[in-house]
Amino acid sequence: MTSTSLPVTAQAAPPDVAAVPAAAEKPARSRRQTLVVVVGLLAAIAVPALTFPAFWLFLAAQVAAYAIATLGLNVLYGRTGQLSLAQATFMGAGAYTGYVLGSQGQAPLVQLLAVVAVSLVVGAVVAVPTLRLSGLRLALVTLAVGELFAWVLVHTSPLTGGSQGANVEPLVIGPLDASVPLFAYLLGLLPALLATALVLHLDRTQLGRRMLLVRDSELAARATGVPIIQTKIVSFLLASVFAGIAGWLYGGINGFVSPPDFNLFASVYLLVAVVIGGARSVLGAWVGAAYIVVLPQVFTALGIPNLYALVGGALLALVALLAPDGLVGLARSAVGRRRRTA
Amino acid sequence: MDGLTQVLAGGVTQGCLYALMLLGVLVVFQVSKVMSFAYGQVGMVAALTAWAVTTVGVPVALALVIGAAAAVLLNGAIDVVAIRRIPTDRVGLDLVVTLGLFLLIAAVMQQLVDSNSHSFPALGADTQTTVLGARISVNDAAVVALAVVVVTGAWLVLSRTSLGTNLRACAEDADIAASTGIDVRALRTGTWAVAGLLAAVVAVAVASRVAVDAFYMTSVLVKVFIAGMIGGLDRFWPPLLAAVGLGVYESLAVATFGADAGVPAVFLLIIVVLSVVPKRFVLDTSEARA
Repeated sequence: MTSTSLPVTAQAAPPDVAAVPAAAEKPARSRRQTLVVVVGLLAAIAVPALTFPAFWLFLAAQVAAYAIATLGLNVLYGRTGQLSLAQATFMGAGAYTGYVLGSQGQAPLVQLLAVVAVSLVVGAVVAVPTLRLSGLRLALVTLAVGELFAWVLVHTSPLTGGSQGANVEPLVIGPLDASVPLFAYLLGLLPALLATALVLHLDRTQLGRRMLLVRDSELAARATGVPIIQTKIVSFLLASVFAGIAGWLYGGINGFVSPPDFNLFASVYLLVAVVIGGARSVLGAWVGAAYIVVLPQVFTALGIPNLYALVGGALLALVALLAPDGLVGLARSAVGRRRRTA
Repeated sequence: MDGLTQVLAGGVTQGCLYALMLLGVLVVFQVSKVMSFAYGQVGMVAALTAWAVTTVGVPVALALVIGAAAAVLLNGAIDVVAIRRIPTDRVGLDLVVTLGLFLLIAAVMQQLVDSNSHSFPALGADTQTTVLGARISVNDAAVVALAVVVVTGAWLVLSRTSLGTNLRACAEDADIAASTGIDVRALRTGTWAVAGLLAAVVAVAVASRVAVDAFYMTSVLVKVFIAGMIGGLDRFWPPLLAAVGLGVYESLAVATFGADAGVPAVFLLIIVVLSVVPKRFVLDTSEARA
């Protein structure tokens, strides 16, 4: 009896001994991490608001708006594996819905509700016929939808301004007027932070895990009873609503919308942004949004605006080949290596 | 009646251009299991290079040879530098990488030449004769004849020669093909180079009809892909016939509903076709990476 119980005690002891301090440290570490994240977040919000000149604050507002769209593509492509070239189309649907209603004097809340409703409809229209498709076929059909949308925009000039585009009334919600850079920044940032929190929360939900399984293996997903069609539809709808709201904010902040903002190339650049930042990372979506808004300005300031497309193409090919998890993934693995060697 | 003949003639010519380009896409896809979004840009490089060298006094014929050589080298280089490095288990990565190359090639050509549209030499497009009531240009006749000769030649090579057998062996199972002594890598790169030549021929023919810029081949490539999707990328004749049919359909849509109807007609077609065809035709079992 003694001889048999001793080894059991001996085996059980190490985990117990190790577990007690670990369990005690965990909440403390978790609290520290939360505090660091909250302080970092507040600093990230406050620094641009307090220190950026008006032009860069205005760009920061656009980054926030674009981040909502890239977060949507992060859900659709990065998490669910659906290669869509219609993300800019979804953005355009939101932007033009906001423009049309805004020009008729509708309140921002009405605009927002209409943007969400239109985005849901457009997302469903794209999602349902493409549920059976993947890879190139899905890319091609979503591309076709985008080209049709651009065609409709150009050929409905009385409503949309046609190929010349249209001036959009600045978004005004309460005291926040998007024609003032600081307020534009806040108007873009607050929904973007909400979208970020939603996508982060997705990781902890069953839906988020279903998306990952659909991305990695539809066969495995089917075998484990994951409703693939439902998961894909929800993913498309999330991407569409995120992009629609992003487009609405972009129009209200930028003050102008035109078909080239939402054509095939705009969709490709959104994909570039998501892949470069890291298709599976929330931080990557922000990095991608910053890339898409800030880099053209940097090249313009340097007097070489044409290099943006060149660098974009090269980066997309290189990052996709050499760093599948994007710049964020690259940075994380570098930090991990450094910690291991330290 | 004459009007319909004219529309059909124009549609068949356009469809033959799509078929020629699709032939390159099919051969590359079947051997490498890759779809390249940069394929149209390879053709654009040929046409824009040819245009650029004609502006410094090089004769048109030599300029076309230089352009075609550039396309052959570029498409071969794309395989060696990028495509070979794509892991086979990364589904869809070929599309993302070639989208990057698409942007890169366009931007490089904009830097090397410029961002403007240019008129290309007509290459017989302005010399017309009447056949069965339809006005046919020398350029049109050359495109149709070339398409018939090249497609038939390709079919004969694939079905009657040892090279064709090797290519089909690679398409079926590259590992087994390699174990029998076939140089799969060289064969694949050669296929990409030949596809580059086809893209150059089509791009030059298209350039003789429309203005040339860094993106003028994008819509052609999309339509070529659409024909491939409709006909099936792992077959030979059905997608090529679908390409000719797509040209005729587009021409009929433009003749019926006006010049602006071409784009929505084609894109609605692909949406409807891929959405309603039986599921077995849209499964990706043979198109894992694409």
